[in-house]
Amino acid sequence: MSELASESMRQGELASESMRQGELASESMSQGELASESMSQGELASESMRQGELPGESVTQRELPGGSRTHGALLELRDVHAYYGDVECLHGIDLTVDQGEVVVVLGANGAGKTTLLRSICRLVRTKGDITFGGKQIGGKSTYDVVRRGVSMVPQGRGTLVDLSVDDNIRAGGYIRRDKEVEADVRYWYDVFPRLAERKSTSGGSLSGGEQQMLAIARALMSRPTLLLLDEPSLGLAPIVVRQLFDVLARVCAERSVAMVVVEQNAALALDMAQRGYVLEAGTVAVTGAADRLRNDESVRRAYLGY
Amino acid sequence: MVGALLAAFSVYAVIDGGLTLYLQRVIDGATNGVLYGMVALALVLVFKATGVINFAQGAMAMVGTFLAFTAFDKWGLPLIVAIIVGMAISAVAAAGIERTLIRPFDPSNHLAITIVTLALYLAFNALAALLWGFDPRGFPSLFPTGSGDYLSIAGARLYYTNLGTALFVGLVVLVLHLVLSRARLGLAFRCVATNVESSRLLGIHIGRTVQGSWAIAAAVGTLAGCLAAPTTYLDPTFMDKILVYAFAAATLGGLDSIAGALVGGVVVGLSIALLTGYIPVLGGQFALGCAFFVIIAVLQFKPSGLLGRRTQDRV
Repeated sequence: MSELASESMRQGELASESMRQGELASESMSQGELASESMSQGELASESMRQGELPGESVTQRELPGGSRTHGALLELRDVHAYYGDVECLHGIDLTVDQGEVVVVLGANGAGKTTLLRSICRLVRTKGDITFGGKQIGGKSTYDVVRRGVSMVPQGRGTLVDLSVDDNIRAGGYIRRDKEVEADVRYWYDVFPRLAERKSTSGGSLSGGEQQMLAIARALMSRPTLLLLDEPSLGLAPIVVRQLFDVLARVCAERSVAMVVVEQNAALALDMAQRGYVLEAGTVAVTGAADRLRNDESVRRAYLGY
Repeated sequence: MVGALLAAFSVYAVIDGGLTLYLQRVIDGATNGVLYGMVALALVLVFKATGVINFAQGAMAMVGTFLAFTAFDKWGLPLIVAIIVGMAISAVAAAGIERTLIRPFDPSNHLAITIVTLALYLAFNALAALLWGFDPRGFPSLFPTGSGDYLSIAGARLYYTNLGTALFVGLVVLVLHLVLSRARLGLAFRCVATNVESSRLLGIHIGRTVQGSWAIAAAVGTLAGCLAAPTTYLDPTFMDKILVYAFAAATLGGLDSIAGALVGGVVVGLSIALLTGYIPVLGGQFALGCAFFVIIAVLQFKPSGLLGRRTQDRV
């Protein structure tokens, strides 16, 4: 990674430091208020926090054209904070994803990309509004959210290593009880003939690329409307990555599945995505249409390397 | 190597005491062994779902057996129905215990949960002593137990009780296998046993799945208790020894393997019967010592057991 990137990271950290202090202050101030904080107050607070940051420095959220949509989004995060234990890892994220839209999330290591995905599928504790399909899911469990149509391919692929390839795919359809499950299983064997060949071997014995195919098939077996992908290209040969992304793009377009892709391979991900977010130290640093991001100088330097 | 040793030992045993005595000891050892295997199976079911050894498994089976006994003796139900009632109550009680005493703990905090199971062991012993007292009672057998009810194999006696027990264990294993490979709960169980976070992302309810494994394990344990009680007598401690043998069996089988639990049980039963039978120094009282040596030897030389999966985390 370039020096510039690490420089901007350090700045980001500083900013988040000052933000945390700002929060403490705003919290102590709002103690006297009603417990059920209204949304507009939350927004005001985060607004003032942003203004309280280092003046004019890089981390104030920049919005490039094509960045904001507010009405009728499939997924909408407003001022979301996420916590591991007592440590806050996301500091007020705003993000929207439309039906069938592909959104890429970029950022350095530790910026909070994985935590963002885990917030959406309820694997971490969060504060703030998360609505999916118009319904509040912020307080729901993973169990509920999966049934509402969210599916995730976790980092490291999440293979059920002791189960056969066939059982791995069928486990993907665990929440379904309709008649088309069998047809879907066959569909995925058509898409990935490699998996059909290795149907009865254990998931753990597959190569990295095959496990990623399996993870995608498993995640889409539940027929989600939103697919979260955490570093799908990690550790795979470029040709395999290309193939996987082609399948993903095709299937998700066919079925109008929206995607949030966290990806180190920014060039590839921006090619596929309509919009993108760049996270720095737990906040959204830049957001906008994918082609705008690709041409944005700071994004280019930090994530595209030219 | 082990096979050669075993063969040599068998030859020595046959020359020493004759073929009939040898066969008799093998039969007795194997029959006890399948019972150990059955309790080991219950241990493995809970271990696979939670990563924790349930030290109260034996005590739960003991209480379940007492319940079956009460249903038979006090309520006058037919024995087989009484046993099923005992199994059903055990399953429901275990599900309740999982929900109230196990699930509130962080599932990755194995030590805390293990301590809870130890406390449960004490609680169940106290409860049984309170309700039924310490006097040993005779538990009726499902099978004919007359002195003439046996098959003769080269002079050795294979009693119908032994045969019936083995058949029951076989049936349980078959049913469990079908549930695990075909049923929805079985798929959920195997997913949770493999990867908790992936299971959660597939929409599997982890708590309910673990609860199901506790319930099934308790029912299996109670059945094992009811099959063992006719030969051991029924009192609040009658499962304790069997539990230690089951630990040995489960360790030997590899803790996460259902087939391994059964194989381990038979091997432990056989080693106890043959070692204490043919090595005079060891004597009949050394049986528990044999279990101890099996556990230590397996942990030392083959920690993954006979059929267990070698745990190796990918980095």
